[in-house]
Amino acid sequence: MTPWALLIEFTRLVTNPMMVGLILLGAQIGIVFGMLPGLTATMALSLLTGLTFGLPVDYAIAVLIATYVGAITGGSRSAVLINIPGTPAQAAVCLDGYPLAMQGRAAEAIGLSVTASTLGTLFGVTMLAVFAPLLGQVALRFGSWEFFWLAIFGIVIAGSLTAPADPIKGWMAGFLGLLLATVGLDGIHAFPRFTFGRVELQAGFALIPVLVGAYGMGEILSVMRRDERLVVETNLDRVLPRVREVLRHWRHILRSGLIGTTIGVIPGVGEDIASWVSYDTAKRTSRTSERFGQGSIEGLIAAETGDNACIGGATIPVLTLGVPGSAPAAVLLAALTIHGLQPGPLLALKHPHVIAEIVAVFVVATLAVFVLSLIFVRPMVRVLLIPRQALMPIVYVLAVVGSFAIAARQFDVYVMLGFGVLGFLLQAAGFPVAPLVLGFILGPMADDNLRRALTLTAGDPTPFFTRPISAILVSFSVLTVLSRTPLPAWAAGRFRALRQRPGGAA
Amino acid sequence: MHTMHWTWLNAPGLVPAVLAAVLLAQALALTLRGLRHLRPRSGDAGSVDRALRWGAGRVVLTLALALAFAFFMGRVPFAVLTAFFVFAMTLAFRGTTAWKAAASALVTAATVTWVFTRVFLVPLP
Repeated sequence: MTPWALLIEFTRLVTNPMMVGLILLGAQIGIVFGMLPGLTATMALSLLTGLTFGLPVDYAIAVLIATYVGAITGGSRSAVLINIPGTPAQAAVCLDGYPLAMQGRAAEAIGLSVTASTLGTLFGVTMLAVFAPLLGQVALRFGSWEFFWLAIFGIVIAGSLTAPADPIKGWMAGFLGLLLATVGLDGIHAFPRFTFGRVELQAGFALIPVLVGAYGMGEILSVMRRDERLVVETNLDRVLPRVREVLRHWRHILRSGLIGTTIGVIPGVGEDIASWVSYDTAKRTSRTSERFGQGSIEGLIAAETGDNACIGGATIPVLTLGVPGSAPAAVLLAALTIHGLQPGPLLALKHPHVIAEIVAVFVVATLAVFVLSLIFVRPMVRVLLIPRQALMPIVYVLAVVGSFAIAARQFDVYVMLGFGVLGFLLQAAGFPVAPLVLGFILGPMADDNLRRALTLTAGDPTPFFTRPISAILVSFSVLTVLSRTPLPAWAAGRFRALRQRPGGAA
Repeated sequence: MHTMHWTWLNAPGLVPAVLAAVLLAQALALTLRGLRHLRPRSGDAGSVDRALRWGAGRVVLTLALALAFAFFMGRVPFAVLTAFFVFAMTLAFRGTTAWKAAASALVTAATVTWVFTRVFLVPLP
């Protein structure tokens, strides 16, 4: 992708009033979803994927991207004002945003968080523009062996990072997702699996009802379980921050941007981890680390830049490998597939303009979110006060319409409800939902490629371990699993014992 | 008649069998750990039982209303069903007053129906 191609797409985009209007609409929907606790970026994208199904592909993707950026940026509003993150990505923002609001600096905190989010998104999108074509070239060398390991690596790493206290639960959720993806006619012989003679099950579970159920319905149940009312008590004066004030923190912005983008590229991990790692790194490297957690501007900027930079990072593997970097990116992947684009190594070959177009949409959407976030601060605070119990029925109606719209089947509504209950129960038992959904998306990739590879080699499994990229992927997967077992601690203990023994190695 | 040829290498059951074995091993590991500790680990989000005890009635009511909505789809006009559902659920959970719930129900039903059928061209039940 050349700068000229990007410039052409950018010009084409901003001169299309319909496109600009839809981006503004998507950005505003995203901000509202992001700022309301219980409504997440993934839920917003899942609902809108079904609802924008009738739109031309360019428009639909523009709405979804603007919603994605808006939701990740909008979540800081509630984090700052009521100490509740709008989406999980803003949990780290609460640590310094809310103390700032308590000090009467809510407007400053909101202004800085929006600016840091904008810079983070632009950083991630720049990385997307630079690295997506390069990674796409590498991905063209992938065969069935590599794609199989890529799916397994995605499950292992996502399970490990989304359930840090108990990774086995994350891995189980991922493998359960892979298993649920095998329902229906298999991809090679069209043999029915787990269909129990039901015609509806022959095509398997459709992706959008699964996503809407796991993230949307599951969240509706979680929110309705509690009876909470929100109160906002703060003054809002000057929101727009001074340029010098922002540029003073350029080191944190660059570092968090890099961390956020890198974490975004890792399959299935996402914005919340990016935010925490950026915050933690900023705290460890800051000269005023004692102020973190008590209203530190550095902490606020690091967390916000990190989670937003993750957006561009998470989109890189979507476009080049067909593997989502985060949960909202998984929905974006599904939306691209539903609209006939084939995310993966062949995307740049079959649709050469798509990556440039997506980058241009990201840039315009980021600017739209920046402007809308700063203009409508006070009206948005009023939206924040709408009781969740009054909002969730409307969200449920949208979830039903979104699930139904793709194939006009009532069965999909029941699938959405079923996955909603499954997601709710899994979360209640400490199993993360993200690996389940990632497993469901990567299921066909793992299934078809394992059997295809074994057929190509007449049953010889050696290439799974000897092909260079395969070997790297399997090594990372095994090391990730081993690092989360008691084995490293045991080995370190043995090593220390050997060193301390008289006549030992040291 | 077409006959399918497969060996164990490309059999449709290969992947489900492998996944079932992996899940079984992981479930066994969790069970053994649970038996060894006989109490939930710290940092564990807790058992389903403990998590559900708090607000179980609200969850069941939400699910019942959601299922009723899904069941009556296609049997009752969508706009009417939406209005009833939003009104009933908002009121059941004391989201707001009856008047506001009714207004919210009517506006939601009218807006959703109009926007999705006329603007987004989405088929409604």
